[in-house]
Amino acid sequence: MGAAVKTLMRKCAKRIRSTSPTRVIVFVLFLVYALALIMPYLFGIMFSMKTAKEWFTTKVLDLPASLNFTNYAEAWKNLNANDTSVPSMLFNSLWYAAGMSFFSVILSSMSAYVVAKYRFPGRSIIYAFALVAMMIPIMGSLPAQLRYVKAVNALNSPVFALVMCQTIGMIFVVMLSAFRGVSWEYAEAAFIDGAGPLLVFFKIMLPQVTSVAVAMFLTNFVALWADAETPLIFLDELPTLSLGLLLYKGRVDANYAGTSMPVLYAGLIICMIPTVILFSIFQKSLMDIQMGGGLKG
Amino acid sequence: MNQSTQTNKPKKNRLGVTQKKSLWFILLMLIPALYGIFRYVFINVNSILIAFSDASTGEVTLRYFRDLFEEMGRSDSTIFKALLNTFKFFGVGVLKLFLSYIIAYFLYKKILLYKGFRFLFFLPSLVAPVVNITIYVRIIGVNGAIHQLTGYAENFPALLSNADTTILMILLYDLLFAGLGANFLILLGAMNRIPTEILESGKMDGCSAWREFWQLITPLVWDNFSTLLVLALTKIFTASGPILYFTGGQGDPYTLTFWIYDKVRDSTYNYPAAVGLFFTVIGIPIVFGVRWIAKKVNPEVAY
Repeated sequence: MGAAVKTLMRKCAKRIRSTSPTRVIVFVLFLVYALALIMPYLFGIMFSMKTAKEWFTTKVLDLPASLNFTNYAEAWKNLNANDTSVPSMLFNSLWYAAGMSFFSVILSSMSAYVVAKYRFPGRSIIYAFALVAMMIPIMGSLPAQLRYVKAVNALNSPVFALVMCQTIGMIFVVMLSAFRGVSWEYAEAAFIDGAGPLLVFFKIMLPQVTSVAVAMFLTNFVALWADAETPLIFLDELPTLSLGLLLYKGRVDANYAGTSMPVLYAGLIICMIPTVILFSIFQKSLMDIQMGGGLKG
Repeated sequence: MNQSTQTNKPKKNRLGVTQKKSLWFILLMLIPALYGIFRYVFINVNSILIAFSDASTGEVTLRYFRDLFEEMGRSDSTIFKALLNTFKFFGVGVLKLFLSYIIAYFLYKKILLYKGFRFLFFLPSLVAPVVNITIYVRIIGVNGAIHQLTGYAENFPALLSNADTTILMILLYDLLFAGLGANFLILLGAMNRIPTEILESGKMDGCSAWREFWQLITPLVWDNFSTLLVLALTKIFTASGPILYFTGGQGDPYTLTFWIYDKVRDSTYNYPAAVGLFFTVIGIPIVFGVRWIAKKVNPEVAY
């Protein structure tokens, strides 16, 4: 073990000696920055392992007396916000983030495909509209959005994921750009073999842009998983995990009975796990998003 | 001549007769986009109506716009301060894009431990702000980690309980600890797609690292970078930070977007709609101006 570490250190030292001073300086800066980024999470894990007594009697960086995972069990069972437990919040986060991302990607892809590959009157208007929706962030539309969501009975309902998903905007533009890059010959061959247009879309053309679609799904999923602001307005009775933790944090800060800071930290660590795992698996796919061309049309 | 005549002819449908038969298919596939357009128009027309109608009587009024101009004229007003804070977050957003570009370049050049750095620099973007900020506040807050480590930072609690200094702490968090975001991955992905032959031939011609960065890599990823820059610049009036997670919605500090959000939470709709409408209208020429400039600068490189 010791020999292996020594060999690794020797290799690193050799590589550092053979590189330019700029790269060495940048490496040191990156290392310091990376440590500054990872330390808070290590602190968070440590805080989650303290007992309630240790939280009040020890200093913030004092290590817990033992590796104590009971706060995780406690968070799973008893942490709640608006009468919703952690498993229910996880479920809400899942339909909100995964459902909305799925609908956004698949519905945007459908329209983007016909605009990219078929000629019909009004296609350039649809494209221009998507660009406008993407580039001009309309401020102050939140009151009207709230009225709309209420009018279609999507307030505090999973229907919200379908009703408010993004069908014209950035995902549409990115998918359109991806479809434009796919040769039409694949579709022609399938048509000759007797395939219908729906089959060609789902079986031939959509798989050609899977990596872009997955990347768009993941970036949306991560953003929605993290979002507590939108659910606070539209889904406060069905809190997602991010919103639930925000509400619980407010109660802990106000010293409500039955709340505990280490339990909150355990809940926060639980909230981190799904997106970190997803990114670890799909980080190469995330780099498949190409932003060029589409916007400048 | 013959060729030009051909190019001037209206292009035939790709599927010819088959496409006419596919009309139902086109309409079916367009339903999501048409719904999106309907929702966008419906919501924004409603937003305009709300901005011009009186909250209590429902009559048409310009009162909220008058209130806005009156507030904008006072440097101590909430809207004025919110506008200044919005510009600060906007500046941080643009700065982060350039930082992302430089960091992506060094990771593309496979600096030692680049895979680990790639993961760690993106990690905070993967984690919900409520997680990051709860820990961040515990580190800098009352009897926090910095206080324990240095024995110095007694001033941090005061920094987080005063609106003017809280905004600085949030900006610092946004710049350094909120993660580089998807832009960083998009730029890194664009660099990774550059054919190695181009850089190798540059090296054979004696191209220095600086020239390679500035004259080879930058033009090759400009299409992606300029698009991200346009998108960043369009946020001039909508840029905001994770203020809710810091303050729990207890008022100041505000950005324009967060102020509107906070008012809607309080069931106040008309004035926020008017403020939003005003800044959207101001922002439109800026957005199209930036887009026009990006189009002019674009070197149109294909590889």
